[in-house]
Amino acid sequence: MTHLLEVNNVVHEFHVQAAGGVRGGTVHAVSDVSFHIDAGETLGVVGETGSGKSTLARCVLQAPRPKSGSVRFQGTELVGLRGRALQRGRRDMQMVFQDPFGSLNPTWRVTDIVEEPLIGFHDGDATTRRRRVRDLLDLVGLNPDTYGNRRPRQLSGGQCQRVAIARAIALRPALLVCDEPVSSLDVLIQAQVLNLLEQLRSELGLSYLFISHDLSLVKQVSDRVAVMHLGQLCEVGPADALYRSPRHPYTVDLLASIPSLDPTKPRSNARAISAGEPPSPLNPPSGCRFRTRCPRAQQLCADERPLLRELGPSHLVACHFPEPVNEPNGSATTPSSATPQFARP
Amino acid sequence: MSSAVLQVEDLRVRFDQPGYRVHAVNGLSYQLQAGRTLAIIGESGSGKTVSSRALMGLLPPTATVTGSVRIDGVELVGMPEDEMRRHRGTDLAMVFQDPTRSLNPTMRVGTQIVESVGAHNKEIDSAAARQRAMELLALVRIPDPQRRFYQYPHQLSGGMRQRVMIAIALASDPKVLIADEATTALDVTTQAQIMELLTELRSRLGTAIILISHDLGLAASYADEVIVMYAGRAVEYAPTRILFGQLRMPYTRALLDAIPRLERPSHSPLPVTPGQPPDLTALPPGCPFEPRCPRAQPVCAESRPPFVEHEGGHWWACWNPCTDGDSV
Repeated sequence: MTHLLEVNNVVHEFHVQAAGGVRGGTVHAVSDVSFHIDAGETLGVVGETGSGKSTLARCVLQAPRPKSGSVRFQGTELVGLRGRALQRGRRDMQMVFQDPFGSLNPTWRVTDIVEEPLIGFHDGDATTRRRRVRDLLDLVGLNPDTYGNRRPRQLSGGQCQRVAIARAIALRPALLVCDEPVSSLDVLIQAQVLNLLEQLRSELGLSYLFISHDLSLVKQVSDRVAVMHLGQLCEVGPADALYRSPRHPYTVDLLASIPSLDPTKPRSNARAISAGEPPSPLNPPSGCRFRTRCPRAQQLCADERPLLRELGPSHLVACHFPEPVNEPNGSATTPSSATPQFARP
Repeated sequence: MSSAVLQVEDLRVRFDQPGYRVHAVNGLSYQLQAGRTLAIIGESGSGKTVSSRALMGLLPPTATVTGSVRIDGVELVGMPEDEMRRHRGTDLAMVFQDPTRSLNPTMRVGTQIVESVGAHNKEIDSAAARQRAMELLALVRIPDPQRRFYQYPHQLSGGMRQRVMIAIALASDPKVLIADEATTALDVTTQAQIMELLTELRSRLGTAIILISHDLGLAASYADEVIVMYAGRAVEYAPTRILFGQLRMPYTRALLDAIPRLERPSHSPLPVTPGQPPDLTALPPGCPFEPRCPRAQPVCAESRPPFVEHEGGHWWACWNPCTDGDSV
């Protein structure tokens, strides 16, 4: 079976210079990451700042080109393609960025912004393009008569993000790469945009690579979730299984750090406190990169890098000493069994 | 109440611009006891940050502040700047959202803490100030304070910088510490560490904390009382357990429902509140949330619901509040 997107052993590194440009260093942003996305599927990638999740997304789009590894999209190998061939290869892959204002040209009108990709790919004549732009704006919930002639500064953050989404889906892509698409929006507007993404997924059959630092948000939108730490995937699995029974100690820590919405529940993050700060990607620890923060670390973790191995149905974990499985009816020790007191019936 | 360290009454802030007037805060009142944490929750533009900067006297000259802010009985509104300077820092201190931009990048962090210690205690000699700065670094749990003292902000991580900011804020033993989205820029594990630190410092030093955030989860986990603000007004105010147990204000309900939850199955649609927050230059005569409210009634558009104490300790401003049945 071929996947829509297949990423194998992608590595990307940045070379940095210290003050004065004397000593060089290498930021290991993405180190040997492999995953796949099927048609119509959403893969959520979570991780902390500096874990390399944005770099990974950009490597998928070949901007920048990964240092090594393979990115196969719709059966075409993108790494190594240049010019026209690359343009054609990634036409069906579009991106939505975090900053809704920064990703729109402030001097352009909304219709120009949404029409741009159609012009770039010579999609239809001027009349059909204009009609398509109106349809797209309708689709993302912006009235073309009211908003079509506005410029980004006359729109709110949520409206700008809708414009960015309309632009991204203009070429009828198969995959949308969303890098923190709602992090800068207020919670009520965030819900509107999330529902829009969900609606587009079912109406247009889109697949998403959805990047976020927010675990609850990723759960909301994803079929499968990948947890990233310091340039490596430490756990990949179906959303339900991963949240019900996280097997990698890092995933457990992340889940325990989410503030609970139930004030009667005692805080359970004493463990996250001891876990300290992530090590520098300039000089990652040997073996397992999480071992310096890990309560379960042993000598083996320093000697040998744990590889992703399957511990449940499509549930991959890169850990020598994974957490035990939670029973489906749940022990109270993990946050994934949080009391559903505020969940709607 | 006599034990209240901070009393805010009918605080109003407006910004006068040529041609229009922004009503950012429209009558905010609350009290804060020593050693308690109050969370002020709201979206962008709800007035939560402006109201806290008004307490600190940190608003630009275009702002007009009226009402009353008393700290241990001393009125701060209308106080001349040179006098205000004595209270800012010693009575009230603030930790800002962005630790990178709040620190001077060209100064060692230790020097910045020493400066803040010296600013509030003119008699202290330099050796004692250094000693105190080291103590503060240890107090905010920075590992290896001897070494960190001589480092520059860029050599510290975001969480570490925020700890330095907290050390600077605590340099003068403030009675009230305002944390304005202090953990928003941080990762979730770092956020948990900083919040634990603030909670620990509160019980050790007896400092009252005002937690300003857009995150109801933070309020539920760390605050004793919660104020929910909308369009410059408090719309619901209660002790945390009461607020989350018996929500009354439809706006708070909408906020709580819109948060993605771990308990929810993937791809389930989120309850949507349509529309945008109101224009603060032209507020409607009725309830500002009325155009977006699922429980709106004709009266809501006509007259503004008063913000009063309806049940013991639970205040809200709504003509048609949620009942217990809805809040599960």
